[in-house]
Amino acid sequence: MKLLRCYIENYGKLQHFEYEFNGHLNIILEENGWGKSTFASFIKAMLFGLPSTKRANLDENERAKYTPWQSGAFGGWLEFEIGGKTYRIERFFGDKSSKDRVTIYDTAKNTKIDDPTFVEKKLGINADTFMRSTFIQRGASENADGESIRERLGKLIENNDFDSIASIDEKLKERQTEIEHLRGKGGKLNELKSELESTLNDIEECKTASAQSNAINTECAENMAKIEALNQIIIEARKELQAFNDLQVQNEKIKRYNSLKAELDKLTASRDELLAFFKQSPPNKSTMERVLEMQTSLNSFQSKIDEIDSNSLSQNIRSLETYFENGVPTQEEMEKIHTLSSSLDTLQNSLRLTQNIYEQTAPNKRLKYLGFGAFGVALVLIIVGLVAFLSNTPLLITFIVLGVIFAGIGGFLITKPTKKDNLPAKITATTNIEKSRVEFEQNKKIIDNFVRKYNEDPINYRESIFNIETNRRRLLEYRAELKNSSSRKQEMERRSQEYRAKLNEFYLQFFPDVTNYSNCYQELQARLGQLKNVNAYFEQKEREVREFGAEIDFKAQGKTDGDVASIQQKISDLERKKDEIVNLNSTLNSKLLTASTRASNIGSLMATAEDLREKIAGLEERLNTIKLTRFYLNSAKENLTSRYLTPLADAFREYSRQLVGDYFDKISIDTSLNVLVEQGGAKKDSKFYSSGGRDVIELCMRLALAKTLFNGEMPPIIMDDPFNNLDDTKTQRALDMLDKIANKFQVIYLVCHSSRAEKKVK
Amino acid sequence: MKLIHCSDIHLGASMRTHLSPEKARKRQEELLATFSRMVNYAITEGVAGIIIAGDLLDTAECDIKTRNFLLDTIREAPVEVYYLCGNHDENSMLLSSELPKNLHIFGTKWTKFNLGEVTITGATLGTDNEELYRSLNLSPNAFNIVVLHGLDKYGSNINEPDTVNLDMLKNKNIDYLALGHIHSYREGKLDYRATYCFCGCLEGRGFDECGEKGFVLLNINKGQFTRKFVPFARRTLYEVPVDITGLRTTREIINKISDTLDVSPDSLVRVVLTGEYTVDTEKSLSLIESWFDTRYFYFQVRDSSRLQIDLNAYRNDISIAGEFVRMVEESDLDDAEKERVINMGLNALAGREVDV
Repeated sequence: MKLLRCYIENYGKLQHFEYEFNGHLNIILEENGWGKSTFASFIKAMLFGLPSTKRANLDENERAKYTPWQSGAFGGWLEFEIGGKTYRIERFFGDKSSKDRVTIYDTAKNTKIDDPTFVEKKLGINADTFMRSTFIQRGASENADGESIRERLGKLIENNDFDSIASIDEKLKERQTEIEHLRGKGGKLNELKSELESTLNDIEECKTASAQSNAINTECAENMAKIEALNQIIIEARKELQAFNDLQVQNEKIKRYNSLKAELDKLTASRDELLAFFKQSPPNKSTMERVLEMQTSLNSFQSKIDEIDSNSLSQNIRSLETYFENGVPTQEEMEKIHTLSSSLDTLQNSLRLTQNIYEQTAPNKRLKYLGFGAFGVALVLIIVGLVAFLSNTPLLITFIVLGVIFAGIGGFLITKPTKKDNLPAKITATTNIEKSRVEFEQNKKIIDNFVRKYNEDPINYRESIFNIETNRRRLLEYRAELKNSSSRKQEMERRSQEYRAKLNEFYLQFFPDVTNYSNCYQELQARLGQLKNVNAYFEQKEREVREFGAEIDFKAQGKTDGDVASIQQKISDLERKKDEIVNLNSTLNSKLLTASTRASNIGSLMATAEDLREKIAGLEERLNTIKLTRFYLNSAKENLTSRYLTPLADAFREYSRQLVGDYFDKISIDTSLNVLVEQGGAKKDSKFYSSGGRDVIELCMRLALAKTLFNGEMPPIIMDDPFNNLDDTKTQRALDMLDKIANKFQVIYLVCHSSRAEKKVK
Repeated sequence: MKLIHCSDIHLGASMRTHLSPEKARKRQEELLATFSRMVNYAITEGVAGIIIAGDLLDTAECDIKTRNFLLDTIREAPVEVYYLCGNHDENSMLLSSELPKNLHIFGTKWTKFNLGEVTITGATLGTDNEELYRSLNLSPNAFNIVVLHGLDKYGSNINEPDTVNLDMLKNKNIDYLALGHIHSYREGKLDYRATYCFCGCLEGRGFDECGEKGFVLLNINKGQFTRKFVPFARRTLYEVPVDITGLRTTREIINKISDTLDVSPDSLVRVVLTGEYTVDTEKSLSLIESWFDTRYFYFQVRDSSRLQIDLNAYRNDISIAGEFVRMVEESDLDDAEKERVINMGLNALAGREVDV
């Protein structure tokens, strides 16, 4: 394989960088910081792509490390030749592998190749192998991580050295032993198996208990069925017994019914007897009322006839005629007397009034008395004045004057006429009084004479006149009544006769003879009351008999009670038998409780067993996996060793001879890729050499690996300043060797110091 | 009138979810408690009857104490209970005890019970069911509920054990076909009149019984009815796939599981790791289980993720790893074994600890 040219669009710090490769040694001499490692990484990225990882360490995350510092597409293209054909691969990267774009062209045919792993397939290596073989970085002696040569050599083939395979195997063996001891019955797996066995034994016990439980349950169920059957028989027997009880009850009922029936019959007889008395047609209420009315009328007629016959009216007339022995006053007389009586009252009032008038016309005596008083005072004053005058006391003349004045006042008062003091009126009044008194006396006399005529008191002439008037009216009424009573009596006798005929006819329907209507009536009423009561009681009793009769099973009449004791005995036997089964079931239930409780664990035990089986299966699977892993890891190690180790040692000697002569001829490479150099009969590990020596060993080992691993197409050897630890002689030899290698393979040598390129350049 | 249709309660059954004995016992008790809660629900909601369409007990594992608790619960409830024996009720523990008056059991022939306007008819199927199907005679004027236990099938599977042949039940004047045997809610149309319904189990027992569990509440009124599924389980089981592709550490996987899970702490959870991982991925199943163990009633992790490996990368790799991968790939191991061996080998070569 040969690289032809490349173009970097953007990759790390490099951008728009184009480079054309020659087919042999390409020396790229640039100062530190130019981007040589970036360039080397770009070539690898173009061939194999960039891995996708989330690692934060930039040295472990190339995608992050070489994301362009500047903006723009991340990637570029590379042209190369494999098997005589030229190809161009274009790769542009995203922030993750899914966003990467890769296009491969067959430049001769100008066709696309749809296989992003085209390079891997053509070279027969992947990116890791490329990195561990033909991609040779800075010298081992300046390793930043301080790894030993052996470790670095080991990593040429694998991340873990061969020794670690043994270590891994040991660890896996420990895990295997944890699961299952190599000898004996120890280990988790066997513990679980023992536990499972124990659980299975428990399950078997539970199954036995379950079988017992089922058997007991079945027996209990059968017994329950027997109990149920017995219950049915007992129910039937009890029904039979109940039937006997019912029979007794029915008979009692029939007795009671018969008693009721007898009462009803008795009532029927009473009713029939009463109906016979009434000739099947008892009088109704209105008839009886009419009868009673007639009887009452008859009595009334008789009483009135008796009254007429007893002559009390005539006696009254005679008595009143005696009272009026001086003649019965006529109506005119009575009216006149009433008139006189009234005028007497009028006259009396008139007299009283006239008297009052007369009295009102008398002089005013009080004024006259004042007049006399004034005269007296005047007399005293005059006398005192005269005495004083006589005694020469002039002032006392006043007394005389005053006496004269008083005398004048007194004369006025005495002589002053009043309104009432009317003489004509007085005269008229006196005349009227006299006149009324005469008239009164005349009228009074007439009335007195009239009253005395009937021996009444003239003083209380008004009461007397009333008595006379009353007696006169009664006498007139009695006389008129006496005149009518004869015709009334005749009428009453006629109607009495009529009523009696009707009553007799009525009562004779029921009685053989009728002597006393009242008694007959009472008798009839009594019987009607009896009939009413009998009828009411009869209906009630008849209903009672009818309803009670409906409840009675008359078929039971006459039946015997049967053998109650026998049935009771039968029930008792059945109950005892049932109790025995119930007791048996009770015992069985105790056993069932124990067996079912034990059997009830079967579920959880089966779950446990299932769980254990699952765990065992998991462990067995894990054990198998560990065993298989150990087997395949060890097999891989042996395969790899036998396939590559001997050719690797031969190639190493070839390159070391070119570089340092036969110094490393006697070397061997162990299965852990340790390069052991035999000196003085002892094998020395490469770590005892100087950094320059270790770099020689690493360089030779790399080249040997490249030669060993690539039988067909050889990828370009990319060397990123690997000789910086070599002395001038070795550097020159290395460069010579590089020259020779470049004759056969394409070499891209990146170097930062001209001293490691000059000689070759020279 | 309200009725409850439930089935497959499996009282006394073990809880096969790798639970510790204590938790397994607790779940068994919870199963019984849930049944009891359902009976209380029936009383509170004025439900007239509870139809149990089979497998009330898990007879092989049921103890007598469980049976007695069950019978006392039914006995004390003012609700009629109609019980059909299922395949797990064979040799039923109930038949060996004195049954409550309100517990009515269907026989192997059609048994009818009338409850108000509803006629409930049921029979335990055997292996000769043809005559049984033919003899089903229901009044067209009644509201008919038929109770059966078995897998629903069509066609000629008439006498298969534990099978309900739906073809044989068409046009039989059924209004509601109450079925048991399948542990998940499912319903469908039987004919122009009838609806068939599996109410599912009352509590999930294993991760093959994930999701909501409960019973069906029927409300029947003058020949018309409505039904609704009432979730009632004390705990729910979940199986949750979690794709771990691109995750590198156990911590990242735990975080992804935490972000994915949205279930109650009372739940039983199985997380199945899916997707792809690389040999660089650190993945400790035991650490994941320990992390979530206290966060849920039960937590389990299963690994179905696949190793992501580019075999081409190793094909031309001259190294022990390359040689190892090539040898394993060329071996006659099965694919799963190859994956396990390569994963372990590459991890060991990378110096990582190999977990037992």
